Amino acid sequence: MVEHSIYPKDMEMVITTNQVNFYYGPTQALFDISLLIPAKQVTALIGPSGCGKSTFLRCLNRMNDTIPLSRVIGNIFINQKNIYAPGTDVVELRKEVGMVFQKSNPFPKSIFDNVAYGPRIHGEKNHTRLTEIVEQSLRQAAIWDEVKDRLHANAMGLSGGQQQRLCIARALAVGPKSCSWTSRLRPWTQNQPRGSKI
Amino acid sequence: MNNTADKFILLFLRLITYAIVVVIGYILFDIIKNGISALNWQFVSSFPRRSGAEGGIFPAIIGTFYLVVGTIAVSLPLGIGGAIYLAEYADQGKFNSLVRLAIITLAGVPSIVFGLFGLGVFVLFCGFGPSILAGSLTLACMVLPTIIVASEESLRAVPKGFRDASLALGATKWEMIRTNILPYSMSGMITGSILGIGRAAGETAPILLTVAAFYLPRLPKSVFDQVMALPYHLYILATQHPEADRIRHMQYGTALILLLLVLGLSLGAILIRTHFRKKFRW
Ligand SMILES: Nc1ncnc2c1ncn2[C@@H]1O[C@H](COP(=O)(O)OP(=O)(O)O)[C@@H](O)[C@H]1O
Ligand SMILES: [Mg+2]
Repeated sequence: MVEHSIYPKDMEMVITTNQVNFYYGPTQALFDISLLIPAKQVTALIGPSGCGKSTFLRCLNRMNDTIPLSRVIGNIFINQKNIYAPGTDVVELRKEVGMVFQKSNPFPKSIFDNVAYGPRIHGEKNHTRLTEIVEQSLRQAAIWDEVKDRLHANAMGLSGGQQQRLCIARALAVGPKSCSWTSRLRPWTQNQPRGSKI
Repeated sequence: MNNTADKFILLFLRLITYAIVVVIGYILFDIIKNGISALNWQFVSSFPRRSGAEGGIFPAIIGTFYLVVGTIAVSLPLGIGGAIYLAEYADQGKFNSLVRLAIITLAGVPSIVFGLFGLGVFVLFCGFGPSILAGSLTLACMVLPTIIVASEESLRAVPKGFRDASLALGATKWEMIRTNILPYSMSGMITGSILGIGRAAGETAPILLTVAAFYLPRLPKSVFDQVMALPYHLYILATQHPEADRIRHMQYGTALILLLLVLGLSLGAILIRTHFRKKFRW
């Protein structure tokens, strides 16, 4: 349990985890992770390669569910809801907890279709609305100016850094619709410290 | 490995490739040389006379065409559906390994066994009689293993990153498959399937007992009718016909048309593949 929080007492927490253990089959990757993540802030996880940062983040939107024989023990609360409670709608959860992967993985579609992917599968058909979402998300990911003239070019033609920002835009694009009611939750970006390893 | 050995292996591989090309080239050359004289509009558009010694092969072309269409209609959805299940949904347990093993084994079963199976199940048990329906179903059973194996491989070739990204954006499993796996694996699935079906189009044994008519100079009216088919017609002309020696040009002409049909199918597969390749490349 987190008893000695480093945060002020009245600070609002968006994610709390309680003694989370995670196993890849017989191999344990997370050991008793209990931590608090405050709302409306950027929280960074720092650690050496292979210490379990990605594993932990994948627990937050239950992407680890797709790994055969993996197991989570412990509780994770997002906005006071236990996301591992039976009956949790995983698809709904993933709309709310966005994720950008360490290795950029744009779809081999146009830049526009990449960003519009999330809104489209969640039922947005209006083209004007989609165009707005795409522009807004690309702006938030600071890539709009670089791609605004070639929205219909294949995303695989972008540079590595641009692809990464495109993936951020794509994750952000899902946000507005579902995050409007979950309020404070922001999509996550895992920032891998480059250069020096701790 | 030293340089001489390297060169030797290269030479060896090159020779093997050339040998294959030469053999196939010779067969093609022989068929074209002897068949081209029989080819004319009347040959492909008219009905046979005197049990095929004269006239054309129109009903056999139409028959094979119907069989190919029927086989595609049955085997493509079933095969691709099965492959989606095996690649995306099935766990890696004992039962599914057994299913996979069975499919691979089925791919090696001789075609006459499929013919007998079709006779027993579709012609007799289901009561379809010798018909386009029974023949298409039999051919479909024969190509299913090929289609499933080819499709499963091309589904598995889609990078994990695409799957993870879709799911993380809140797609359900089926939405992920529909929007981010099928489009990329479609070219491989269709190509593999059509090549398999092209081979089936030239098979005699499976249709021998389930659909093919020895001599039927009229067109089918429904899927419950028998038809003539190119490979069987060729077999009859070449081995069963009383004047077999005198009608070589008819045999070669039929073989050439069958070849062109299969070539057309392969060409279609190539076109589909380039279309999808251009659309989705990674
Ligand atoms: N799919 C997996 N199957 C088995 N072990 C894994 C898998 N993914 C990661 N691991 C292991 O779990 C540990 C933590 O990995 P990860 O969370 O990716 O670390 P980080 O992101 O901090 O570099 C590593 O030892 C890694 O080898
Ligand atoms: Mg990592």
